[in-house]
Amino acid sequence: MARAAVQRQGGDASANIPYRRRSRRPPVILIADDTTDTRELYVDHFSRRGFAVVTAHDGAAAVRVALDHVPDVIVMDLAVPQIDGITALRRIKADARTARTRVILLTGYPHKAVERGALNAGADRFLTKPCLPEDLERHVKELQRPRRSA
Amino acid sequence: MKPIAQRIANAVYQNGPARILCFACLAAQQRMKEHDLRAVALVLMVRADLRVVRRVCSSCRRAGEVLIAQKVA
Repeated sequence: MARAAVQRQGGDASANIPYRRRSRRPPVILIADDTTDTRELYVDHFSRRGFAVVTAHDGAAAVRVALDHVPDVIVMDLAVPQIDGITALRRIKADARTARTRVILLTGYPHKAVERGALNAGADRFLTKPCLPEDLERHVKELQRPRRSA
Repeated sequence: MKPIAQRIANAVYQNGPARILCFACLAAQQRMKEHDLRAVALVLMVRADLRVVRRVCSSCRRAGEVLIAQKVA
């Protein structure tokens, strides 16, 4: 069964994020990756850096958690089980609540991601695995900057 | 560190600077998927003294990302 963990700065696994107080809440990041070690490394890093971190270990859970928590940024592994990262990305972008959520696609094979239509699906960045947490954080912070309206 | 991560670290150190393998060739040598190797590589970069750089693979001779010991870099 899909699981989602929520961790605040202090590591409170049961905390829920009040959507109405969005402006005062810490930035929320969703880490969607099927590898436990990867999730733990990123959760540890981003929690220490003041983010509220939610996680998902497959594509279906990623969509569910994204719609529940409306993260500021999603870090999605391309090769997650159940539904792949691109399909999950399409579903997330198709929902009005998460249409503007920024998405970083992590993949070992960027050319394959492009071939599979990741650009059209709405990915904001492609990063090659392995990606150090501090490098990932730099990209996350760049995407957090307000974007110009079209 | 998990056994699989320790095994990959040992392989990288045993291969040494004279035999640097790209992810595809190292995965083949270790009989694992490249996707899984890249996940392990993140752990090794954070918790062990390994890093990823671009080099020519000693096996396939193609330029690409390789996992090497920090002091070799």
